[in-house]
Amino acid sequence: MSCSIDTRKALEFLQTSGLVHLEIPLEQLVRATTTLDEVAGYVLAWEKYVLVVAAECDEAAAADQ
Amino acid sequence: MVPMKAAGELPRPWRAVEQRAVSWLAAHHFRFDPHTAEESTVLFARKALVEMALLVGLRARLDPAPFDGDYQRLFDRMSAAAKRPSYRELVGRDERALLLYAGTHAALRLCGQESEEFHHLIEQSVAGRYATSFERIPYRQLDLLHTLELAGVDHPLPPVEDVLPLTLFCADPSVLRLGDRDIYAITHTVFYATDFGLRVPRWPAGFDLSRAVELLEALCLLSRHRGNADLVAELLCSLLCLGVHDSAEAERGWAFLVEVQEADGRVAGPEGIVHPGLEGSDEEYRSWATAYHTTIVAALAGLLARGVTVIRRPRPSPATAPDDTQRTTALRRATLWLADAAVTADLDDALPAAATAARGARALAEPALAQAALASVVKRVEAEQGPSPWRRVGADVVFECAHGLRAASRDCATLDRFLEDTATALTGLTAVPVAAAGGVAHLMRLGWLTEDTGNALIASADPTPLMTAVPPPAMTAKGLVQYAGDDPDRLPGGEAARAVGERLAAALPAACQDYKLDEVAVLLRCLILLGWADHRVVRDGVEFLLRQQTPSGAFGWPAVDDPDQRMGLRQRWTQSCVVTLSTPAG
Repeated sequence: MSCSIDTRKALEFLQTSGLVHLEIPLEQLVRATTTLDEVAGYVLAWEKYVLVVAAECDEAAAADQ
Repeated sequence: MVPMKAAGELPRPWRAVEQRAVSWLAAHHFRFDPHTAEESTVLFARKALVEMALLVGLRARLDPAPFDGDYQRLFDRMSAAAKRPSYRELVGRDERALLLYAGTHAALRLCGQESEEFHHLIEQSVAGRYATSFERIPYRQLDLLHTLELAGVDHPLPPVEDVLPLTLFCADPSVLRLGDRDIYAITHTVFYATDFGLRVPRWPAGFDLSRAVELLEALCLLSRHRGNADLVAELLCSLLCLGVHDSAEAERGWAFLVEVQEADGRVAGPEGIVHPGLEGSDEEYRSWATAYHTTIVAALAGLLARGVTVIRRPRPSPATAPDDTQRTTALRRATLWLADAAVTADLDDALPAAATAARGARALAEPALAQAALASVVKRVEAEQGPSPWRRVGADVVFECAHGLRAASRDCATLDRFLEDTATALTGLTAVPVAAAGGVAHLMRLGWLTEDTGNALIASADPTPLMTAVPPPAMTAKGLVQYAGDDPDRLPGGEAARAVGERLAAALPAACQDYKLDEVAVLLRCLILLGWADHRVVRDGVEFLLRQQTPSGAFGWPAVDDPDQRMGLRQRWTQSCVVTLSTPAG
């Protein structure tokens, strides 16, 4: 086996990693399970109130159509 | 970090934040009146009214001085609204929304303006055996108990102490898994249980106040980085309610609030804070609707910070160092799994597996764990024809194998030749790229480069651009760990290091949520090198990784059925986790 290495190749080698991978192989698969109930906002903290308002908004939107 | 000034010293950021916030609220006092609201926004105005009323009530309770003009305007507005039968008689008609009205009565009572009729209405509603009985989530049950307490209304409900064990807050949850709704559940639990900082509740058995405080502080950090002033203000209030007035994170939270508060006192809530259907087309209304709550909470934080009757206690520190047994046990099992995998995998997969096993074994001071794996790959490498495999497997793999063989007093001729050639190629260079510095350090530690040459080359690499640039956080982490190798002392300290640490910490929840285990691992590795090993975010991150370990010792749940794909993912994830779990703390 030959191992002669020039400066450029040595520097390239030193900057490589075989243990840190950042490409994402399963992202879409996992995301499909995690989006329930993820709406930000303090309005949602008041669950009763939001349910009422959301329902009213939906009704209003339906009435407009 | 300059410590927070004690009461009586000036300037105090919270005083100005409160004054400006209340000024803005008072300028919009008419928005809080359901009577003048448009039909589609009446419910929203009722909610805003009770929240504004609570602020005014607490102001009367915590500060004996008469109201200034702004507080007086807010008081007048809520008092006028509460006097209208069209508002208060809804208590008897809309029992599920008891809290929406009872809170206004409680606030008036705090202001010394108790209404007998309003009180009677609430008593009747409580006696009706539904308004206080339908099932509520625990922190809403605490809300009910607290409101009735402030309203002076008797009830037969179980006390606060019976509800607290059911709350998320008292379960000491992982900071990385909490969504906005969870954080509101936590802050509100603290508000009600402590009566807004005026009492120490009987916490459940096993409750650890130091962990509760670090949870709130960690959430404050994460919320700051999401630009969520609403949660930052809620968390500042929570820390104050627990009596903590000397928190460095709280100081950063205050600095954030000062920065985001607008000149007129408005503090905008985060994106999506109100239902889109409420925003309408009226820009002025939208400006109020998206900010009134955050501005109220900012004012409340200021009020609690200056309240002389609010409990004060030194910030509690953890009583004991965290137990490291789980980490070392998991590391050992994963190291053994990788060592086994290295023997059976093809060479390109076996080399990183053996290298990581060697690293894990070294960290555990049990080099024998990786001996068979290293022997297997060395035998196959030596038999390989053509270009050296060491060229293609990555510098970290090569160096871990070299350290492992050195620890086992074994030689590998092709590896030695490759490292010698690499070191020779560097001779005469005066500078190396920043990502090569870690490799130079390895060559020096292995004796292939002299200390003078190695240190000069390392000194030529400037990590500053890595600290200040804003690529995706995981890329920053990767760059910094490549630069540092495993030497935490090489990373800069000070404000720049803290800022980059915060940025990496703030990226952890999303990485966990999306199950990007490699990303979680490299973020944690860099944070550990930066000196964050004891931070709650990092400890919860490491625990998250530990929860991904399978009975075999491998890490990760691929959620796919193909055996080859499962094996490939598990090896890669296990390598990432072992590298992180074996990283020395900075």
